[in-house]
Amino acid sequence: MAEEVSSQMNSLSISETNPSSSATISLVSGDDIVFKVEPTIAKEMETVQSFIDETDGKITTIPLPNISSHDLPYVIEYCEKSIAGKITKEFEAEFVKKLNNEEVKELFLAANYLNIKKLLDFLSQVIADRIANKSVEYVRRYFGIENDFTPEEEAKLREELAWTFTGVDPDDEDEN
Amino acid sequence: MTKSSGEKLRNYIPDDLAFFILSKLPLKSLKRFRCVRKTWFSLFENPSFMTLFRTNFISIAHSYYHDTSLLLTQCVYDHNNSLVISLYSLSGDKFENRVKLDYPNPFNEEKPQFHISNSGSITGILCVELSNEIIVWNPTTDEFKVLPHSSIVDSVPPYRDNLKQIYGFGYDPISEDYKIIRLVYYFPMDEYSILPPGVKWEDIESSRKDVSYGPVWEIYSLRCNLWRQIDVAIPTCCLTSCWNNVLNEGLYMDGICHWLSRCEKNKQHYLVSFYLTPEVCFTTLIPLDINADEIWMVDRKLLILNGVIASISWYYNTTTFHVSILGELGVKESWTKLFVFELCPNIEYPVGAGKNGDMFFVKKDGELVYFDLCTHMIEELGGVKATHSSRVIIYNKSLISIEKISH
Repeated sequence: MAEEVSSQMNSLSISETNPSSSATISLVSGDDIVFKVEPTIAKEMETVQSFIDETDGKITTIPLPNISSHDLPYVIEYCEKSIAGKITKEFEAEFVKKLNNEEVKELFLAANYLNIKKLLDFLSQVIADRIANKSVEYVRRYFGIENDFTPEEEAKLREELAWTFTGVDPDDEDEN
Repeated sequence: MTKSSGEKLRNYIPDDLAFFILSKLPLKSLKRFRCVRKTWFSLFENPSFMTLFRTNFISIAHSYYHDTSLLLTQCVYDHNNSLVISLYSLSGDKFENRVKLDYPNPFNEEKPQFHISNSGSITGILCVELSNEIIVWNPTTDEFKVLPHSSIVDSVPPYRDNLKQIYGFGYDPISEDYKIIRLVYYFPMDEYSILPPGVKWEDIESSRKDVSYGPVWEIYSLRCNLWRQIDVAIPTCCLTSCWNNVLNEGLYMDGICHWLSRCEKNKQHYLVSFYLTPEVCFTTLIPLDINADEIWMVDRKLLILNGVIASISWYYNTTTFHVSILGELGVKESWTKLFVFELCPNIEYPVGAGKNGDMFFVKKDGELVYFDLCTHMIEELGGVKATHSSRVIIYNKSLISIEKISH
């Protein structure tokens, strides 16, 4: 991985000195790593494509400050598979198997930022499946939500909804 | 691990995005997360969220339907006014591919009365009432077995007429057995009764004073190939009032047989759930979707809607249908009304649900139509007739050997 990054660093300097070679698009992650992708990949990312279109294709280096160099390769991998028409249930299962819940969330937010509908749809289902048996507290932390009920209101609500609190998984500290 | 406030902000999922995720949750989880914050509490009153939730509810692929096809029993009256029953396998987007299936006819009858039990296909095996016998049948291998008669012995006192009604057929994963549960009703013998062999009318007369006519539950185990009586506590209000209503109204899911019952006295509908192991039973009240003083005017049917227990109800002779899904067995409050729709007046009643949002209805002229809950489109199947005893079955092919289970 380190080798790959350094070669991408090199290509960053090349693309800066030679802006006319616009066969590829350079995506710059929030932590300033450059990923060179085919224009077809960029087309999958609506946010990127509209940026290119707005500048009539003159600008091919696109900063993506909200996306880390950890997440971007996953997004690119998914887009590549999507173009090749190779998004299968097996690929998707394999794709998220190695990701923990926080990573899935980051990718979900990245997919939203880049406006990749298919990935967004897929990851929202992954998150739904992973939080279905989680506690209310876990979900608050996961979504970054402050509780706005008074203790009395919440206690009353929990009593009314007591049947929904059976079969909830204990919170796993490692995941937070 | 501590996080900077910038990272915290980056990891905040705003409500519009969160709702996208929440709309894909099962009902029970979604209800629990109403406790998360106030905007989530009122999700069920948010029309655009509910539209999203409904669409996902019926369209997300459920493992229940993996590798399944549809079977349909067509019932038509011929020119002699006798019922002719045919079995079809349906496939294609509009169910245009129809293959007529041959079913067993071990008694070589001209017009066999073939009724698949309301539980449908259990791991590829059907329980069928064939004239006066019961068979279990695997349509894939065409293997079938005629079941033995029950534990009730007719030839010794007390002499009574009886009527046997199947309530459920299911697979019990704990004992790895297939079981049938039925209720036997008793009646006094009269001049129309067929007397047991060797029994005279005088014997019946003399045994009459000691006779109990209380109904009895029986369970058949395929593994043991035996019927036995069971002593289960089932609320009597269900027993006494539901018996003309129970036909068609059952289903099987995850080791439990369910059927509908009603109690005139409390104006209540019940879901009765019978666990195949241990053999116990409990009820879930079903809230009335329709305001009606006379509960018997409200019709109801049980369905499996995308892998979830659902109820469809309608006021007799009207075509506005209310569909609710069950969040948790035993919890009346967990029934959630998801769909209300009005169909054209020539629709008579629902006969069952297919995959995802497909529901089947019979028109007044007996034609079968399907209604897509997603698109609200209604289409005729064209030439398929149905009656109250028609069934739509989710069928999964299997090579399970009935002979091997019963040994």
